[in-house]
Amino acid sequence: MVRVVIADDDETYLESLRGVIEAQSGLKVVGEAHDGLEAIELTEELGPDALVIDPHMPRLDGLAAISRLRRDHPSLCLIALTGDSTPTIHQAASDAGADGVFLKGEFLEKLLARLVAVKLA
Amino acid sequence: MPDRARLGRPQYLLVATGVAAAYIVSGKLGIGLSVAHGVITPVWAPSGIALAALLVFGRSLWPAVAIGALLTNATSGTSLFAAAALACGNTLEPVAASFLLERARFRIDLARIKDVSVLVLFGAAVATLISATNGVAILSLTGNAGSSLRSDWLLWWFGDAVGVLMVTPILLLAYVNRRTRPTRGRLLEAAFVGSSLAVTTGVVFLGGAWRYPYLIFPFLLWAVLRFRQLGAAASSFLVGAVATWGTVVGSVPLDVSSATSRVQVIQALVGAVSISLLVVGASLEEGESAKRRAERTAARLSEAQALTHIGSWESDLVTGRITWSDELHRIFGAPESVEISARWFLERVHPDDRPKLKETARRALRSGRPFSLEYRISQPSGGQRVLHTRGRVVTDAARTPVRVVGTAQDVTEQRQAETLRADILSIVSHELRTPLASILNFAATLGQKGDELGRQTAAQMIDQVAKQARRIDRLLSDLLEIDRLRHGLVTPSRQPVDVTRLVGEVAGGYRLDDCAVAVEAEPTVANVDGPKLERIVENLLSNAAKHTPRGAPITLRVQREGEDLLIAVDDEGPGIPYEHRTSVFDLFDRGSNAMSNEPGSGIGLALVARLSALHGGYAWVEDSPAGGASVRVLLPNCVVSEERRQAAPALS
Repeated sequence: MVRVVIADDDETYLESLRGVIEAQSGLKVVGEAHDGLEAIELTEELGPDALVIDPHMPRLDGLAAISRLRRDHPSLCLIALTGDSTPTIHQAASDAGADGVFLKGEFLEKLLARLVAVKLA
Repeated sequence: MPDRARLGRPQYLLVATGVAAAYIVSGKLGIGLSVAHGVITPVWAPSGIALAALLVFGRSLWPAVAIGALLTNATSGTSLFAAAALACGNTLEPVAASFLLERARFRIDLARIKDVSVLVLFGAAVATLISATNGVAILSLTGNAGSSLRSDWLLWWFGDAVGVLMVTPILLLAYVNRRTRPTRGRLLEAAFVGSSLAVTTGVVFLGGAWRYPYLIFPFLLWAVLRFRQLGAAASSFLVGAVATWGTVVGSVPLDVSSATSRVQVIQALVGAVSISLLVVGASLEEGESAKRRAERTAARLSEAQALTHIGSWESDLVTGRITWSDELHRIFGAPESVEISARWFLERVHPDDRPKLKETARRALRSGRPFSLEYRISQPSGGQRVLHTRGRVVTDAARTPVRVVGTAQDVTEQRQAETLRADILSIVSHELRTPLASILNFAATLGQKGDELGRQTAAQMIDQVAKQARRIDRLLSDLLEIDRLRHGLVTPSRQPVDVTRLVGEVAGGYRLDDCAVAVEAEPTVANVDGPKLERIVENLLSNAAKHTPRGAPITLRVQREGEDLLIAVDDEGPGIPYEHRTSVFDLFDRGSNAMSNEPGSGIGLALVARLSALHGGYAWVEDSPAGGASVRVLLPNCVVSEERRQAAPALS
């Protein structure tokens, strides 16, 4: 079972994402965070296999959280999930250390496949 | 000829009569001065009058000249046949002259040396040959010729030529300047120069001081320097007239044998004075008009630079001198008196951009190729501008760079617009994509696991789908609304609205969303656009909800302030720093910095501000009593008083 923490400032989106992830066998959402700081705290506390995080968030933003977590947890699967299709944010997330950058609403299968693959790697 | 007057039929008759009369009067005056055979005179002013008339009013006026000439000659003791034959020559002369001048693109303001030259050549020298040859031939045929045909011919020719030189310019310039209204000072000056010249000329040519003709030159120069062609023409006419008169009455005892030779000497003098003055005047005019053209060009260039925010610059590599256009000074916020040096310039360039600038200059000088780059500068006022500069290196014959010239355009607004455009795209795509992705996720879950989900969970998900779709719809409506407001396409339709009920309903919607909204509203009815007020309250609440910890209370207050309606939404969020309290109402402003990833679209408060303005009101930010932000809206003069409310009980 791949244990996933999801972080997004949009409550509804979190709820919908949890539904999609849990519908996939082998994936389980173990925590939900609403800002960057909460994402770090939850990751430290729960030790998940993967973190799916929106780079646009209040308090410590997603990008900063990604680079902090990448430094402290080299093997954690970090996935940025953004609603912004401009290349800058994708580049910024990659530079911060994200293993993958996905656009919300698109590539849902790819995101799930990526998460499922975490245990195999 | 561009200045030629157009005459209607009655005007034609009037002008023709005037020209014929002037011809006759001046002809009689000239014959009074005649020195040989009754019709050969030292100055034949009618030639000048006829030419001026045809130049101004067109050659169709020739009958006036013909009649004037015929009557003048016929009443001067010649036979009718001889008078008619002489009149033919007199008429042909100005017709030919005006034709030749027209071909030479002569202009009657005599402002160019060319005009003076062709007038002297065609008007005075060439065309007058016709009249002189014809006249002397007729006189000899009718047996009226004197002993020397050659002397008669010369005298006639010179007489006509001097007539043209003396009279035509003054008439043409009088016509050109007919609408000039000189100032009092100019009139006084003209009167002073004119009378001084008249007195001096009189003393020289009539008063016996003929040995000192140069006494008149200071006044001639004064006239032409200060009054240009009009001064030249008027003073040479004056001098010519007085000198001729003096010669004829014999007060100028030139040391020559005959009256004829004496006249020729004075003709030469008058011709020379007239031509030199006109040439001096024309060259002054040409210099002046070249200067005016240069000034106009410079002014137009400066205007074009100001309009496009493009300045130009030049750096002389030999002298090290740097020259800037006015607009470039303006762009840098530097007074035009400031001495520009490379060091002064570099100090104003953003430190991060200096190496780039130096490197570009070095490369351009080495390669000799044109260059372009963008850099930032700081103005003395503290503002920062973005400049786009293009330049090229100018080399001498030995291919050594001697100058660098170029332009610099202020592209700050363009760059800001580009950044804003990118922000809008990023914000809108993010704001739309999140609810859209939620819908897709719910749909995927429902599709995949619909049967396994409990009835209640599935219903909740479907409810969420609808809510997210409404969220997208609201965002799109806001975007369209703000665009219509920006373009002034919206007018409020005011009606008495029960504000208390309206805010209660909007706040009720938020309570459903897990947001604690406390409403403190005085019973208030106001003349406002109901749906627009609803958008104001909705956006105030959603802004507060975005910046408030979950579950923290939000207070919505409605107060009457006399006739004005105050709506305030207080939250317990982090508050808004002073420096952002104005910019939060700008479109697509999302707090301190776009990359800070603050939530929100940057549309809500902008819409609030614009909808308030639509009601003649405004929106602003204060500290809320609970420590967060208090965003307030004041809509003036809209509260319906108690009495009027009771009079009109029908409320929406």
